[in-house]
Amino acid sequence: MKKAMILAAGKGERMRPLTDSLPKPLLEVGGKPLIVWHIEKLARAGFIDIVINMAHLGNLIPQALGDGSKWGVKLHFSDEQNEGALESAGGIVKALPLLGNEPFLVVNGDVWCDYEFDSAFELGDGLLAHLILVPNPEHNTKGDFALSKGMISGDGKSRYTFSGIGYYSPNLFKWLEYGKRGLGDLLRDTMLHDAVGGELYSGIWRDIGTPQRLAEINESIKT
Amino acid sequence: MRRLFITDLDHTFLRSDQSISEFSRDTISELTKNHLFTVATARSFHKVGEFLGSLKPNAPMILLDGTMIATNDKKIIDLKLISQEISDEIVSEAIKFGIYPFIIGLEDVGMEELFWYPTILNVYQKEVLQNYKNDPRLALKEPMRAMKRVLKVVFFGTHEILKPLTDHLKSIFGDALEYKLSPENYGGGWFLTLLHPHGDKSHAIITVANYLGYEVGDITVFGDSVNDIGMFELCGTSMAVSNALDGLKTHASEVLPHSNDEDAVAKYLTRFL
Repeated sequence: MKKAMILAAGKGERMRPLTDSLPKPLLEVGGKPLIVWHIEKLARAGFIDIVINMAHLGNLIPQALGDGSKWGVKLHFSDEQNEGALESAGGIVKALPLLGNEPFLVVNGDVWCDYEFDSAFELGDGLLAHLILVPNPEHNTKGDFALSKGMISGDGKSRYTFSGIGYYSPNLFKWLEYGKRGLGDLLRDTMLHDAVGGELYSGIWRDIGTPQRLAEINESIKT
Repeated sequence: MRRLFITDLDHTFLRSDQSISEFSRDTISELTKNHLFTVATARSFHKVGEFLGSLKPNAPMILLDGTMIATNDKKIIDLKLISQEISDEIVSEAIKFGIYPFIIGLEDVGMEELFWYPTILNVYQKEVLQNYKNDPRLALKEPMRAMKRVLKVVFFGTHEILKPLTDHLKSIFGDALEYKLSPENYGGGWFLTLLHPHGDKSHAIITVANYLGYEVGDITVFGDSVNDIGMFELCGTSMAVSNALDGLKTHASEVLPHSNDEDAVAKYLTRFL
């Protein structure tokens, strides 16, 4: 697996006023834009092509990052500024020509974690997605999905929160109509057909949802 | 002996606007006093009833391209079903390709058709569904699964989507299924229909012939398109309407001088009144 996508087209409403002048992925954690943490880790893990979609204040992202050569990767930008953000699945559908025909990794640009991306990961036979779940944080106590024997379902006990990190087959998106589409519903429909696997990751994971949470993370990094 | 006439509907017996002229109706009413007349069509029991209205075929009808044979008064003579188990396996295999089928079948008891469709649709499937918008048979199936009595499993997409899927399904199900991968007549899309291997018009004609005690050589058929080739080769007399595809005309015993819009079938049949 050589390709990854960072979802960076969110509007960051809850992060205002910080996101009035900066897109969320460029907010800094420990003195470094959030998205750079992801790029560094992806590069370390052996990913070569990284697709970044962008909408809100999008142009600032390539300006800040360049072509990726300083990390030894190639950055590709999928511009959704005209569409006004296609949501996660819609963004992946649009970027699919850049992502190719092999499975790829997708990570939300607004999470912070020490999960190590795995470029050697292989999707199991018959699976269209493999999601990384995390223990439920305070702001999502009911969790998103249930995990049982390596398979993920929408309903069920042992519920966890979707980390925003997943490995996907391009077939999950390949034939979908271009346009706005959330990833949650698509995954839920696919789970009904036993085509989504997953695992629980118990390391550090934070969703940078609000200025307060960002401040907390920055605080925790200092110590 | 009473003759047996079997006609395709669309672009053969029906006019291009899907109507049946007064002349055709009168001719068939007269004809059925002394002979047997019925249809062989891709259409459903329900739809054929709508088209024919008061016109009643007096021999079993070959429906859904031969997967169903039923009389006008709802007696099912034969069904060529795909098992529920195989149908569900088809769904699972197709999901690996990120595509979900439509499944057309029958309710557990009776002859009302079911048309089940999935939540995740590609743009071609959406278009098809638009055309069926008010069809009472339509039901969203979540998750996508087969009903007990499956007549066909159909995928819509591009050749790029459907060719590898067809090859994959063939490698798994082999002769247990009939695979028909064809372009749509409009819109540039393709469709893949999976059927019982004997779910076609010519097998159905043999069944109808046996049922009525006829030899296939005694049957006269009318048609316009490639899905009529099988029955054209089988039957004693095969008549292509003048608007038929050239690919069919070469298999016909005769090409009629008139088109479907000129009531070609009825005009020919007047000689038997």
